[in-house]
Amino acid sequence: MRNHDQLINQLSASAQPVQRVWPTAWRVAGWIALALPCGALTSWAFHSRFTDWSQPGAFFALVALLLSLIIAGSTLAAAFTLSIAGRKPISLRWPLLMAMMWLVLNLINMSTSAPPSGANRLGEGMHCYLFMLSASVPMMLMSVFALQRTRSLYPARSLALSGCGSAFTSSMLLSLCHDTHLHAIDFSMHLAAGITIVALTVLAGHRWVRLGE
Amino acid sequence: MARAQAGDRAAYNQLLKAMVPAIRALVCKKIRDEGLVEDVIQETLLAIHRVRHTYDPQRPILPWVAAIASAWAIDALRHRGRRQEVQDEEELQRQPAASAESSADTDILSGYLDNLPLRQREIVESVHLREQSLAQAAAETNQSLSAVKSLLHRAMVNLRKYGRGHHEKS
Repeated sequence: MRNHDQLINQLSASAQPVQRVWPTAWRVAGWIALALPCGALTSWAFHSRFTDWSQPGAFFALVALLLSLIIAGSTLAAAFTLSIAGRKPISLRWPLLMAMMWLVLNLINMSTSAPPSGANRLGEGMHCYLFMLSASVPMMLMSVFALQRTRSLYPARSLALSGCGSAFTSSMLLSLCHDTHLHAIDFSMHLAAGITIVALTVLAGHRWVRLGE
Repeated sequence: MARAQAGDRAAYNQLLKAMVPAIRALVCKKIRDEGLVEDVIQETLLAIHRVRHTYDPQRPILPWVAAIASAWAIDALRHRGRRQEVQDEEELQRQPAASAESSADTDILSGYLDNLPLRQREIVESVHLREQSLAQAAAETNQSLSAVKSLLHRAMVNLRKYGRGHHEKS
């Protein structure tokens, strides 16, 4: 049995007062309050118009927007909770269920109303992809910074969850300047952007968030 | 812990010392190798020190400590599994060094170590000659555990290169 007193003495001698982390709800609220304006600013170059809420499919688009906000908040709360040792995050059943509802709403929105003719769908899809990526850049940085403060015993899971939060928040911003009707190619580019955001968050943040570093 | 978070060093010292048996009991449930248990305890203490601001005094402390200790124990087992082959190779390399030492051929050993940059030499001396754990070496040199591992790895690569060159010359 080895004696750890020397290490403990060194650690306690170097101990300074520390500031406790905020409760998760405050951290999520702060993150969203900061992420929305920052995301809007960084994606300003790709911002072309505001959504016309009198278009057909506006109701589904509005519900999908609200769901995006709730899913983003839930996944961020799960990420922040998971990053603190010994805490169990809320069950992911509810965010998953809401994500399914969000998907179904978007699929309904794709099938019901007729798309405006003559639109360059691939070009528009790429525009949406770039919009979501540019909007999510400050969100990814904020997520990594927030998780770096607490570190995480499960960095990949925490980052993936916060990446989902960023993806849904940028999707929400996109809904504010997008046709209420969705086209299949357009929507698939939205999904591709979401997957890219999650992957980038995990890859970029893993080194900074791991407790061992 | 609340007092420790506020900067009370004596309370923090007392708390960490009181935690050690509990951490040991938790780690021993997962790991049988005594040496590895002690390494995990040290790494757990370092991790607790690094994230002590995440503890909420309104919650019980044991789940917080147990989660950190358990994660480090699993991590240590995973690393040991991955490094089994590398360890065998290192063991073979350690044997000539040990026999050189036992035959009092310290000049050769210090000749090898003289070729290392100062920081790498310090880590090799601390871990391999003074038989400190990686966590102890990290605390002693005020570096992170990963920095110590990286320095040790680079030192081993350099020693191997130097040893190969030395062997070819002779």
